Amino acid sequence: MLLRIFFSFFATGGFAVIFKTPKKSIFFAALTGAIGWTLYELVNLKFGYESAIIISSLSIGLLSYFFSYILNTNVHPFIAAGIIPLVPGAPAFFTFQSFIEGNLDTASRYAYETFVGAFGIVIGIAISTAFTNLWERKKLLD
Amino acid sequence: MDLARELYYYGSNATEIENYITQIGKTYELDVQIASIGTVLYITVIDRTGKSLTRIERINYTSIDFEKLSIWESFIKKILKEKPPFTFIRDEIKRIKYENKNLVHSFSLLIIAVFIASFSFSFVFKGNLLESFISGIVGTTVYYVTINLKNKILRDFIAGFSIYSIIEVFNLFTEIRTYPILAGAIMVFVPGLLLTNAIMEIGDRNLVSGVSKLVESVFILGALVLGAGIATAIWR
Repeated sequence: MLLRIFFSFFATGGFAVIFKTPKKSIFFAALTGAIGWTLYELVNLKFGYESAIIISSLSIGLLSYFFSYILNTNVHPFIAAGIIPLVPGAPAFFTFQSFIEGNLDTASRYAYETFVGAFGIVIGIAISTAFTNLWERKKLLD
Repeated sequence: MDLARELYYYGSNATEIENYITQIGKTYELDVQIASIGTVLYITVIDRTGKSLTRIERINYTSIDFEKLSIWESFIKKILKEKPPFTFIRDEIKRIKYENKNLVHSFSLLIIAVFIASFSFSFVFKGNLLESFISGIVGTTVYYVTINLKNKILRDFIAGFSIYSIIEVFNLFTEIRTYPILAGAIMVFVPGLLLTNAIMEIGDRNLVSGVSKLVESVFILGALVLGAGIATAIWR
């Protein structure tokens, strides 16, 4: 698990470079992805895939806003690179492959994983955006 | 319009573009209405005498570049803070556009980053050293071959097809598992920014723009999966 967390840092960092992120933000973008993946692994062990996706994408969203606030930059480099490991690209493919092979049980299992993965990300990011908007509004009122 | 177009082009989302342009309007005591919907920008500016000017512009494709995006955002923040004269803004826009044109990112660095991303993702998806290395090679090769294709759906379809086919070729020579290699290599083509922008826009109730981006990202992801799926059927 430690090895996977270690490589999630580099995977997200690689993506930050692909998105041409400013140099000062690359490390933090990679860190966002690594922390998100760590939470995913830990929560998945204890509470299952559904909770893991929602909690890790929520943490990625909140961390991204936090780093963008600290570095006084846009939130995109952090959130876009950080969320990539959670996007269910591989399960989507295996859903299709299993359908082609006629393994309907396996296909529906992968389809469920894809569906939960995609909507878990939507819910996690939406909650983090809502939190941040509330915080910004409160700051404006103060 | 120039500022909105540049922000859109380099990867900003609809809500941010609309907020920035509205704030600039307020700074200069102009009533600005802007809508960034799908691939079209609509701007109406009403001055103090009530005269209005409307412009519509279609943006056919985007190029994600957060460094250039941050340069434009810094300029907008400067406008909001210092309220410089319009002639200065016009000159600065020309200057930044010229500088951005000359700001070329290292292509070799990009290719190395693609390799690292595919290699590392394969490890993340429980691949061993050999499988991760093959994933890196496959991801980098396909990325290099498809980099100039502007149509994202076609690009991802070809990418999915090629990735699976190359993995099967490797499979002829050595005993490897498809899953971690494929999972690592296809990650480079997943429309992550489009998806997150879509979600954030829907969250901000920018529904038309958000849903159109969400649909586009689903189609792109679908093309990637379909390409790989067709390759599976052929190799079977």
